[in-house]
Amino acid sequence: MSDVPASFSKTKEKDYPYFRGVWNRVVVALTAASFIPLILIGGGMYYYATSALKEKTLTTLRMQVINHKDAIDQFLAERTMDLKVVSANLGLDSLITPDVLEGVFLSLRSAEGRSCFTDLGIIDDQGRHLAYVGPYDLISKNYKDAPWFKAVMERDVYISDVFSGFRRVPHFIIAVKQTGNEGAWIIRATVDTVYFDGITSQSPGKRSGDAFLINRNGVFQTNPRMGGQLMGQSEFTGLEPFEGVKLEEREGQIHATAWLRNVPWLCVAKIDQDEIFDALHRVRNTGIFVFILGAILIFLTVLLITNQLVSSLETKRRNIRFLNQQLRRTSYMASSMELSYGFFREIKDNLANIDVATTWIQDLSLEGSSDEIEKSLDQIKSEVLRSRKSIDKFLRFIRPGHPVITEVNINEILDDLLEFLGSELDFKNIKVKRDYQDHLPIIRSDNSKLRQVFQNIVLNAVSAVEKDGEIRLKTRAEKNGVIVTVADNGPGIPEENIDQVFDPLFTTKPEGTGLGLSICLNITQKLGGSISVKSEAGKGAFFIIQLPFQFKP
Amino acid sequence: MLKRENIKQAIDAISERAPEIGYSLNEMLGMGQIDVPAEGDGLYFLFDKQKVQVNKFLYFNEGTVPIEQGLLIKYGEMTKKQELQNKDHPPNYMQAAMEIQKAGLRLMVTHEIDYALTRLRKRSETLETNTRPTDYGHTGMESIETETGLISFLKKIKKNSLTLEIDPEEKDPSVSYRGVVDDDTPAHFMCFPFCMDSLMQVADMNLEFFHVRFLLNCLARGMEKNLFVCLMDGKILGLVYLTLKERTFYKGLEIKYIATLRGKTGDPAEPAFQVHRGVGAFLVAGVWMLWKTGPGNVNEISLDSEIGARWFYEAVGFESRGLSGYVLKAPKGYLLKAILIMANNCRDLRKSIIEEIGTIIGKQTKLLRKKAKNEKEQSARSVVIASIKECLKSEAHLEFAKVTISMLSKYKKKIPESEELIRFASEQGSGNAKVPP
Repeated sequence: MSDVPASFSKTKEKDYPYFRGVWNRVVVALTAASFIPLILIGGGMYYYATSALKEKTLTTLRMQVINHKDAIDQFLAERTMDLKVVSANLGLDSLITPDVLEGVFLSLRSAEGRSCFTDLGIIDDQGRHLAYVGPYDLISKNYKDAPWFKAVMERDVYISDVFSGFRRVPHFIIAVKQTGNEGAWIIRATVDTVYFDGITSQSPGKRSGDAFLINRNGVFQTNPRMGGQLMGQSEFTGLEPFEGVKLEEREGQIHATAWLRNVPWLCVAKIDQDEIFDALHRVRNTGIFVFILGAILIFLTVLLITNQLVSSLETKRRNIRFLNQQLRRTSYMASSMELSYGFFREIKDNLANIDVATTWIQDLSLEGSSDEIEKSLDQIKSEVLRSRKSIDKFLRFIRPGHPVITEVNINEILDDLLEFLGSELDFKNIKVKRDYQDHLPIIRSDNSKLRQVFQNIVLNAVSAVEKDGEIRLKTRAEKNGVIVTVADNGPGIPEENIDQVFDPLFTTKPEGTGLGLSICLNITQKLGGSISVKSEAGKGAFFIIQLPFQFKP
Repeated sequence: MLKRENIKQAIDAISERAPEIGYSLNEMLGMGQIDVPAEGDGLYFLFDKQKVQVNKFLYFNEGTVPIEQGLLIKYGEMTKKQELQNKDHPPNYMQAAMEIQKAGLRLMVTHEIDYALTRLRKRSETLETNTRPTDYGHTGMESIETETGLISFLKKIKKNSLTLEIDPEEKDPSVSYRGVVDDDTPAHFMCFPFCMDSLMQVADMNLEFFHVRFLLNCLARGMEKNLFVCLMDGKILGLVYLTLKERTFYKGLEIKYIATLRGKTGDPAEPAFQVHRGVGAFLVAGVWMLWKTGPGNVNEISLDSEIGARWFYEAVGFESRGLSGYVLKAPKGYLLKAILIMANNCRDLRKSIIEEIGTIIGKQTKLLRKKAKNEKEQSARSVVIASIKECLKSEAHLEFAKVTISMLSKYKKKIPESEELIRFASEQGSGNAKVPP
């Protein structure tokens, strides 16, 4: 805005409120245009990513539960197989021998030397203990009425639910029936609950997970890590058999359940949702962070661009108003010129009439008229002719021709201009020094436009020097074209303004348009030339116009 | 309707070739001295408040070429006007108006010649570059010589300001056939006479197809022998451009473009040209004569035309073929008359052609047996009678009169005009033709 004249900048009319609405609309429109696609695309991608990740997590959990359940199933199947193998191979006679049974009991220990069985007993078909190895005194006990005994007699193999039994300690047994010459008998082993708990409690969740077994009635068959105890009633009731793994969301937890194959126990794994969906939450948080960051960036960009746009609009609007003022003035001047054109045409006609009349008088007084009259009539005629020529010149100046590239004599243009400005220069007592090169080469350029350029620059010089000043015009032919310099001894251009003198709308004069020199620059550049200015405050200004010999677009 | 960008495109094209003119036109466009109409359907622009009509056909076929040419003509006129205004003494207004008009046309033609010269020079340079010194065979050298010849010919055209004139008494070798337009005004059918005057005339006519750049392109491509004009008293009245259509077992002469002043689609605001009758038939007659006197292996004359011209082509013997095609079977009507006049002016015609024309006229005479039922038929009948009279007047070829008289005698009772025509034959003398008592 530095190129807008100071007087104009002081205008009290404010443009900003006018553009407030534009600012609001642009911000809203740009924000909406940026955010709606961002939300739609980002939301869609987020939904797709979380769905895929959640599905993947749950599938992994499902696989882990199946593996866990299979491990328990396998343990029970292996233990059952151990008992079957021992009972089938050794036979009742051997097994009822205390040493043999103890040897078998020891051989059923695990590789780490820890037995998965607490005790081992041989029971006949009447429920009497034939042999027993273990920490309890159970040799005298009869199991004829025990539910597990009845069940094993029916099914050959039986794995019981956890019960207290004679020893009053929660446990469960694996019993295998064998039938030989001596009749049916049972080998029964009690599974070490601590050992078994160690297998079942391996939960998929590391921090918050819990895994346990419950029977069909929802009674705990192993010790849960939290919320219950062995043989206590769990929250699971009304259980129905199903295939595979069932996943449920309950109170911020995922419950994965699967029925064991060898025993009607439900393997339950509980994991906190926060833990299992940890990766998902990380993705969500990253997405939200990126979205917020992007939104802030977009919004800031929108604000910045809108501010720039509105600021540029304000500048343009001010310039337009300024130009409007100039245009009104120019239009007024143009119409005045048009009027003066008609006026001078009329004067020219009058002069023609005077000329005709003078000739007529000369013809009438051809004989007998005095020399005085003759001389006076001749003088009238020559004055009329001179006036007509001056008017013609003036009319040519105020009505420039079409922009045509022709042969142009710069010296002639300058002379015409000075002649045109003669009375103004005389009135102000301005001396004009002409330093023209003799036989200055003719150039090909636009005569009317060049006239305009020189007229602007010389008039600037005239207004700068005011009274009793001096203007120097110099023309020289150089290698690439003609150089014209217009110098004056006026106050010069202040240093801080020298770079702006050719800017449109820059003026230091209150009545100036700020367009004159800008137009000069534009014209000379279009004609393939250049224009520059040198000045020192107090020492006048020095305009250099360089024009090529041939028109160079 | 034209848009400012169309004008700008045209000015840019001019600027590339002539920067000085381009500058002026650009400035005038910027100042609104060149503008497009605010409303209206016509294809025109305004140059210094004057309406400049753009040939619609050329604009849609050639793009900005007609706009460029209109701008150049107006620019030339403007500079001349300015030059005359700057003169101290008052001008002779009629003479000045003519000078201004000619200056515009000359500038445009000169510009187009310069453009053609630039293209020819470029082509010549390419030829020189592509032809290595060792390869300077016959063809390469000939091409370069042709280019050089063309360049000097075009330069000569630029300098030459002679008007286009043909001496009717002298036998000019450039004239192919002599005939008449407007019933009795002598005209010449000839190859396009390339000179400043002829090109300026074409520029002024602003015909469809035949703009100055097209004509210069024909010259540059060596196709100028296919371009013919109807010239009357130094004025071009119409042009025709021919091509040879060749396919397996087929060779046809195609009238690619034909345009006459009469068929000019101009603006009523434009200066009116004097309209001459029979120019189209004259041009087709010239083509027919070329066909018949040329190499014998050309099968037919054909052309593609718009529906609007259907009546004319059918009236002179063309038959419709395909959607917009026409083929010339047997000339009739004004075409036959024009052919007869040309044949009468050509003494050294081959016997076969004379016989063919005789056969055609015989058939046409036979048609007079049928009475005219309406005005159209009556008009056609009048044309046949006029053609018969041409035969009877023939001094060059008595065969025409013989055939006509024998047909008239044969169908004396059926042709009401036969007696009158035979009497006319006696009056004319009709050479040695046997006039029945």
